[in-house]
Amino acid sequence: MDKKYLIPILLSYVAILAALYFAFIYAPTERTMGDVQRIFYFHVPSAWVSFLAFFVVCIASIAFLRTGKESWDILAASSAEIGVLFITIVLITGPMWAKPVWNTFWTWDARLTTSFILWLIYIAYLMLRSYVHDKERGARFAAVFGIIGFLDVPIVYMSIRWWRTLHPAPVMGGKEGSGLAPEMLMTLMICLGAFTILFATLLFLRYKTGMVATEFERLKIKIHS
Amino acid sequence: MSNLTYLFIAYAFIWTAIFLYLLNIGKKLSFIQREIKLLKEDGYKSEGN
Amino acid sequence: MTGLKQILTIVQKDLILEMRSKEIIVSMLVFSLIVVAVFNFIFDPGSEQIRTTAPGILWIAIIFASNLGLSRSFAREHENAHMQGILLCPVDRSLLYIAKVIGNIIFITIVEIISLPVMVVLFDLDLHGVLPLLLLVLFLGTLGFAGVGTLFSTISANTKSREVMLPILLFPVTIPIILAASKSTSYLLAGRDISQIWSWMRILIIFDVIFLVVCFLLYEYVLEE
Repeated sequence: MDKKYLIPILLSYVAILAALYFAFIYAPTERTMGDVQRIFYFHVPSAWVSFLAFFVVCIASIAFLRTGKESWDILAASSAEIGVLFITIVLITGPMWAKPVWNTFWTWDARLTTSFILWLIYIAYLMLRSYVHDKERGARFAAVFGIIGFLDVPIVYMSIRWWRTLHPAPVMGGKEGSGLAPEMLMTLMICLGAFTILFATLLFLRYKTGMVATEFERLKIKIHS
Repeated sequence: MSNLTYLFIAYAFIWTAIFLYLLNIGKKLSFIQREIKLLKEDGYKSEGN
Repeated sequence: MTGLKQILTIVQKDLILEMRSKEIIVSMLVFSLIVVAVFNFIFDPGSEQIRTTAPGILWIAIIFASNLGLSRSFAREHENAHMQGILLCPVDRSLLYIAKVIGNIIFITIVEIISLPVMVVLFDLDLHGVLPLLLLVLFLGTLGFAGVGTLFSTISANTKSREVMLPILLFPVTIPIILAASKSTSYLLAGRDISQIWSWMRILIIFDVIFLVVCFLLYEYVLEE
């Protein structure tokens, strides 16, 4: 494999090993929740990465509509794919943590519901990309949907919050910053960093693959004509 | 005990998902690179003729 | 021609076309009545549950019927290449969006005006004193839904399996509008305090404004060059 691919892969490999060390050995066991709380150290970073990925989709979509450059479109598509991967991880690991702690897999709390709706929106985004006839126009459709999809995030979150405040929400443990031991906070930061590196690596690889693929299509047309 | 099962399932899912995605990209990339190589050789051959 | 006159001409064209075939209005209407009837069977006859869920059923009937109407109207335009015809006219493209939204609102409103009395009779709703506000809520919900729906149906009309694509794109994104509209309606019908009703209506208005502005700005990108 090419050297330029190997370096980021190795870097994220090391970062993840370090994060695992912190999550399992350095961080103390949570008193009430026990070991299952260690899901937290990769659940929260996954959520962060998925939001970051959808933010990149939005920015790349705006840039694509402005410039019409194909590379922005490829970046948006790559980032959306990775965002869906991580939001799926969030939606799977969340219930795995909630079941033993709150004794329920799911509650319609603002953050959970927003993640679920985000998942639906970006699955739709990926479907839209694969269902178009005309590639150039399809890229514009995807960009428009990518922008609206991201602008929808705060709107969905606020509406669900207003909806939920009228029903008493179950007590959510581990609200950001509340009663998190310094070691745990440190571990969380390391894991956030590691997952950000992982995101950058995946995005780089996926983007390069997309670029090579379009280059391939161009070459094919050139040779056959 | 059951707590650890949930922990295990969650971690197993995270790493398999990421690993499979990485594998998927790698496969796509190597496939395209191979195709490009073949296409280039083809192109040169037909130009040579 | 002034902008207003251009808008009115396009709306008029859509209405005349529909008056000839009546294809869209009739199918929307029948569909919304079927939804109301089917949902009725979920509950035991005469139970109090029906009245509390009536606002939700009303909105489900509206958005499902709207979805059907939107996909039908744009599919028809796509098949007959009406859009290309309009785009050839010296009409400002941003006005086209406004005209399309108005047209869709008219279609949906006709369906609402007919299915609302049916629901009042079937579910034994008491509209005494709340009718003006209820109509306002219906209009605001329809405005937001049609605003996003117009943009997305233009997109989905140009994809494969467009009937499936539209709800997949439209429903997740419009969840905040649907939520705010159905909450306002249920508070209204339950005879809640005006300040509580107003708090949801205000949210609905804010969402309408945001969605309409964004869709208005993005509409030109989904049209053919």
